[in-house]
Amino acid sequence: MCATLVVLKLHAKFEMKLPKSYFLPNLKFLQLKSATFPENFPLTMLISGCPMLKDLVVEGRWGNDVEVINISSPTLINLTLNFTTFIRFERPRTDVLLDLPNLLHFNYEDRLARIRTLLMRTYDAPQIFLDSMIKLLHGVSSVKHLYLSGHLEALNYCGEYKLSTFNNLSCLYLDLSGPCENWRHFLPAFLHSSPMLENLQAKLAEGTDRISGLPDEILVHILSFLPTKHAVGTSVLSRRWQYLFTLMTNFDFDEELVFSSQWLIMICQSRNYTAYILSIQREFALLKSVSEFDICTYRFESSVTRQLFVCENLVVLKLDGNFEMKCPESPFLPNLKVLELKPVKFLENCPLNRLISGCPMLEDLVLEGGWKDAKVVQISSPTLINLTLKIRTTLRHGYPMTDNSIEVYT
Amino acid sequence: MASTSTSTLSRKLILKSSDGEKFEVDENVAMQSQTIKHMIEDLDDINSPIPVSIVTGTILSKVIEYCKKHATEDSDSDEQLKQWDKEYANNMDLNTLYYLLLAANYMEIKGLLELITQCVADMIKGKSPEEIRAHFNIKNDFTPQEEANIRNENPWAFEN
Repeated sequence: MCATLVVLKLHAKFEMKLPKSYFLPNLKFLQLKSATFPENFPLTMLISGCPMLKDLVVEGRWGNDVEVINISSPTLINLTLNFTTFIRFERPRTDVLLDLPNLLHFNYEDRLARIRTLLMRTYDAPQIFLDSMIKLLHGVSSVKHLYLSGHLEALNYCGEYKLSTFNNLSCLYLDLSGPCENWRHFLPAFLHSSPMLENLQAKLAEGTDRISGLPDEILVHILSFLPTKHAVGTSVLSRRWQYLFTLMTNFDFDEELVFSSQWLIMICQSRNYTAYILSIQREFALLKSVSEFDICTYRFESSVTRQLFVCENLVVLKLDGNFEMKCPESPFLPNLKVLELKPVKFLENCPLNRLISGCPMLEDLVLEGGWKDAKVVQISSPTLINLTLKIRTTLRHGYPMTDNSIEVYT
Repeated sequence: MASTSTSTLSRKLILKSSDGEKFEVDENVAMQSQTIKHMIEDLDDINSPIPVSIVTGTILSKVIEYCKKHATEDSDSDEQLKQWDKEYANNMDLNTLYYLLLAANYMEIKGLLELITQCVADMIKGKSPEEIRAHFNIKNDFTPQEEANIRNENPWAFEN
């Protein structure tokens, strides 16, 4: 409602929400940048409330359910749209409908981040692309300068269709470095529709990075054919590759490898890793520098627990899963402060006291699980501050429940 | 009797590429693609062209070449077939490999997907990060500091 405002720039880090009605009689420059624009974002209302608008920049990702983005203004001269839109199953893709009779400069970038996998599964995707692209270009046939870039798949198919005539177009810039295989068909059609064209710049597909544009699943498939060392080595290629290897499900640990703890924790958290965590555990346990080991898993190898219980730098140790807790021969964890064990059951030959006496700095102890056959469980530690016990004792013939007892000395 | 079995075997399907090119192929050739197999099941009229929406004619002809080779149960031994696969993949440039990968993934042709991914993996194998970037035109978008950090995270992966 600000009558004097001429330039307005709004940036939202998350979702941009604006009220419904506007009147900005002097606004000439409007810039909207947002991580996401919600379904009911009042862009059309906003623009119709700006009767003097000359420049408009809209950048961001549009919500999943936005079907049409309408922009119409008789005064607009410069328009930049930098969109990330979605392809949706069953329904047409977001259409951008423009009615801008005096537009001179149009800069359009359409990114479809991480959507290409979906696209591959959508039988009619090119048709959807094509329709929306034809609609888009139809509304801007007055432009003098046209910049198109991004994932312009639709341009592949324009050759068969009639484009509207661009009577004013003098400068055309096309970034066809995305997957626009048939620009050779498309370009003549575009030139044919632009009788006044003086300047053409087209960035063509040759010499561009194709492989990074492949869907995750294919790239991970490629990595799986590499020795683990080489697969992890691809993390340095570019941001696109940095975390790809963590999606792999097969690792080849034949080589003597020492992994960074950060990487392993990342893998452990990011995946349902039951199948290959076993081999990772082995490597992890070898890591003498790790200070925290917190794993909830389907199953542990007994060798892992054995190795874990001699890690000198370990401060926090949490094991949760379907394993039977055996006490290692001579546990020594001189720095351990937090110990959490949640096995299915502690075995009778697991003298807890020996384990705990190997942890001279222990402050927190959590034990949860079944106990098999043990009659007396002793826990004694001079340093322990917090203790949590959830023990299920099992009933055996001849040994009634009452025979079991837990003695705690702190 | 013999003529009946021949006619079921050689039932023809028409595949239509994204740019409108049509290919007539034997059903058993097309059925190498799980996607087409499912599409045929849903299809009322087997004679209407089956759209392979994201694959162009140039690529589709190469895909069909592969499927034909692997559909025929002729005298080729496994060894010969492997040799054929190898030559088939080696004759493709990087661009074609890229589109073949997308096509094989979309059409769900397991053998072809395996073949091409293996082929791309072989190109990565034994190369330094710099060489891989140069080969595939991958732009390094890390700052020197970021790149150093990644190398330090897993130094063993970058040793020769």
